[in-house]
Amino acid sequence: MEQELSRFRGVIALERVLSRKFRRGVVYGSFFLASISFVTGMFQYSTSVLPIPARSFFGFVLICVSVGLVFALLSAYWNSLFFWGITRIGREGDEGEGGITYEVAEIVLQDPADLTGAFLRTLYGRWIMLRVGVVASDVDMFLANASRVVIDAYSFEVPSHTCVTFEAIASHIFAHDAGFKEFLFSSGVREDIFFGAVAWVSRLYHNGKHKERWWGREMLGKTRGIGSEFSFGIAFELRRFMGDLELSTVFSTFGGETSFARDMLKKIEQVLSRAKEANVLLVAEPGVGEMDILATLAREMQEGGTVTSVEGKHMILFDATLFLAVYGTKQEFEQEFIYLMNEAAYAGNLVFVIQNIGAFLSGTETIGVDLEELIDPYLVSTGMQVIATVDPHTYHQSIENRPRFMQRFVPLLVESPPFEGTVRILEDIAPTYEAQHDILFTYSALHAVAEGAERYIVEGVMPDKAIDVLVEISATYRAQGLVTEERVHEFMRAKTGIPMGQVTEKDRDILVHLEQTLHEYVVGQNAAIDAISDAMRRARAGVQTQGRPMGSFLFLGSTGVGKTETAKALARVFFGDETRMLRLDMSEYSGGDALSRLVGSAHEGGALPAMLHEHPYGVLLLDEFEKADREVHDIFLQILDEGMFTDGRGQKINARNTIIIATSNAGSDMLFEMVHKGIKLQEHKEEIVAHIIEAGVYRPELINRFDGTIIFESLTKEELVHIARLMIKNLAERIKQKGYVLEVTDSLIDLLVLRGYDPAFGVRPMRRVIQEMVEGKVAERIISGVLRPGEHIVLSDTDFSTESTI
Amino acid sequence: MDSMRVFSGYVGWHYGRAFREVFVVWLNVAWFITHMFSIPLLAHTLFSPWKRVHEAYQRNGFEELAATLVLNILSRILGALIRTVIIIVGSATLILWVLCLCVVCVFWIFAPVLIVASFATGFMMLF
Repeated sequence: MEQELSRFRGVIALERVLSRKFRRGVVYGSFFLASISFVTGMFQYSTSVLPIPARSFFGFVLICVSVGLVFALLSAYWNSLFFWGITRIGREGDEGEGGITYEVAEIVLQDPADLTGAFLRTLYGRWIMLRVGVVASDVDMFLANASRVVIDAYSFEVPSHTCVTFEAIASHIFAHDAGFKEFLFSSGVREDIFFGAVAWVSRLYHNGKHKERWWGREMLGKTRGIGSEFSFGIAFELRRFMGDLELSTVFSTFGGETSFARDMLKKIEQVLSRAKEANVLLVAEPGVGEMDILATLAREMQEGGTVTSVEGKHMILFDATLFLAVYGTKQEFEQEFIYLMNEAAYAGNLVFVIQNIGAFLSGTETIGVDLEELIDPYLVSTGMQVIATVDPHTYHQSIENRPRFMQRFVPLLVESPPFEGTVRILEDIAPTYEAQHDILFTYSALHAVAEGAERYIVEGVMPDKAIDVLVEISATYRAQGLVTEERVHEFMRAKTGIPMGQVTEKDRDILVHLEQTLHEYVVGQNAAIDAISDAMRRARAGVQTQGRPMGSFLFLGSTGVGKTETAKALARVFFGDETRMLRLDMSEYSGGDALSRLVGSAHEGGALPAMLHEHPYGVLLLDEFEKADREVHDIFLQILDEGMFTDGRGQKINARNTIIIATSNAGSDMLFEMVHKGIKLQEHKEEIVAHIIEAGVYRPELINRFDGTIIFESLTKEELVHIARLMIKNLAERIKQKGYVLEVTDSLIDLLVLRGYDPAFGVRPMRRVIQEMVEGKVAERIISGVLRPGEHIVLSDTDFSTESTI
Repeated sequence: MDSMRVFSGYVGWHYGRAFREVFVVWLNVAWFITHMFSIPLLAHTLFSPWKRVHEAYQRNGFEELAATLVLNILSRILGALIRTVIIIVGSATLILWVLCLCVVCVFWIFAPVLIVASFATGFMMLF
């Protein structure tokens, strides 16, 4: 280490004595003064109008040049060591020296006896800590702790074959300084977040350093050569229909570095290098970043870095919409298109990009042009190459069935990048929005953005939707300083209504007492309520299986025992509103076209996708599930398993933010019999399920897909009394709004239960009895005019003693 | 202390590693000039038609054939002329760059003396 440090001692001392900014100022200032003096000296030499002799001006020129040169040479000395090892960091390969970098020397030389302290006091350490969400005052407090055990820099071994950046120092400190590790954990920083932030800061810093080094091949190579242009033709007409193929603002540095983009670029290059039929068909959902990958490739083709066969070629974006608008008749279109293609083929160095070729094909078909026939000779020729993009649905519907087209193109599927790839893209674009909105994202905030967008944003594809969320968050928290993980959760919660992130005090209260809260709305059914509450707690704690709905239950039981009421209560408690319950009457999906009505067809949307589109978060209640068609049951095999399905138009529909509850009366004959015999249904759950499977109502694999099969018991008389009181309470609330006060005696409640109790139909007869008896009597009194607003209506069993039993 | 460190570090660098650094920068710029003017590519395609402008020969009589021939020859001559000019400019720049290296090397060796001398001369001329 000492030997490595000695190399940098001079430049670090130089930076301390004469800062880089000062040196630069002196160099520019000296040469500026020298120029002015020289011109004035020449003027004086020829005119002699000034009182100072010309030689004095020339003398001043020499002094300025000398000073300027001294500072220029000092800057060269500093640059030489400041950029030490830079060619080994990033994109220029493995050439260059190893050893420590300038930043590492700067850290270590600050305080070799306390490496952690030195690291955290430098700009790099501060920057990293800010990115993990730990503010400077907390860091200072940690450093000020007198009992802190320090580690020295000499315990750090410098590997001879690699270049050591401050990433390695951070890693060393994390591994050897237990106090620092503890400090991070107590500040809520996980290991992966710390290392992710370190890598992010390092990449941003070194990218900036690469750009500063204008004399490196990487930067010099960005200039387009003039000679290569002369070897190829010019496509004059084509210039009218050429669009810009530039990186979109959000993907400023997308590609290049991520392994996801690199693999894709390699695949495209391989196809373009083929001897014949070297055309690419990129099959991609809009927003997945296919145009950005092409823009990256176009840049690399110009700057070098691609395979020789495509190097120096021009990628141009053909504006098909404009072309179709200008040449709207068959004759004009064909004539001009052939002319254009000939021109492009003559040029010899063009890669023609047609965005959304499906729309172009159908557009040309409407004016009677057979584009496939027209373009075919050019797809075969070696003069030009075509890259077309198409979305998966159009690809399957109108491209795949064209054998000749498929023979000329090599289809490549561009999928959404994996989670790490999305975070990497966010890392690259975040600085742009930070600068625009005067904010700073922590690394865990970017993680939360990617996670939240993936799981809770239904519309769009990744990484596009994650980028949208990042842009929205930037605008929302404009000039508010640090954007942390909590702020992202707060934003996502406001946007989607789904609680995300750490469980708040209020959430904790709801979750802990979920059983009691649900029992406020549902009487009895303890087993069902317990199972649902457990599942909900698992979902909120984030320990449930990813890539499935939040919960899925099959409620079995006779009618009127509280199955629907439980689903409603869940929507009310967990999602805050009863309207968050989406109800599908599955008896409507029993015919031959049941599946297409449910999930839609190519020409018509389905009920389920429309419902999930409008309300992606909530309880999805599938009423009378057993009555649905077998094909409908099959689609639910997939939905319950993956939380996703494909609608009739080929779009992926997300049902992962729903709790799916299927209610069913299946086996009601058996249940009825058991209830009559006074058998506890819960105790014979396996028997009941086996009976239902045997009867062919549900297949075993479907039942197994649910998180739980819940048997609803028949209501006891005591429970019915409770329910009757609840119903009367609700009725009294309604009557109170009309200005009257309803009071019901216990004896009337007993009478209502007596008349409304029927184990086969649960609570339904009771509801009818209350409607006919109590509501009827109240209505009668109000209409007869004997009551004045504010008066009490007292009802007891004696009021109904002469009425017949229902 | 810092000034001494800077001085000793600088002198060691100036007469040691700096030569290698100067040469690496020189090589990068030389590579850039070659890349900029694409000299090998231009030499390789010296007599190709200018911007690929050429016409296909049609069997429509001698006059048409002759006109096409003249056009194609003209295109090639124009191409060769412009390419030659670019090759000459590029090569001259490269030669200049080689000379530049020699001048820089000589200057580098004597830079400390030259700077001190220049400063002293300037100071004397001032008064």
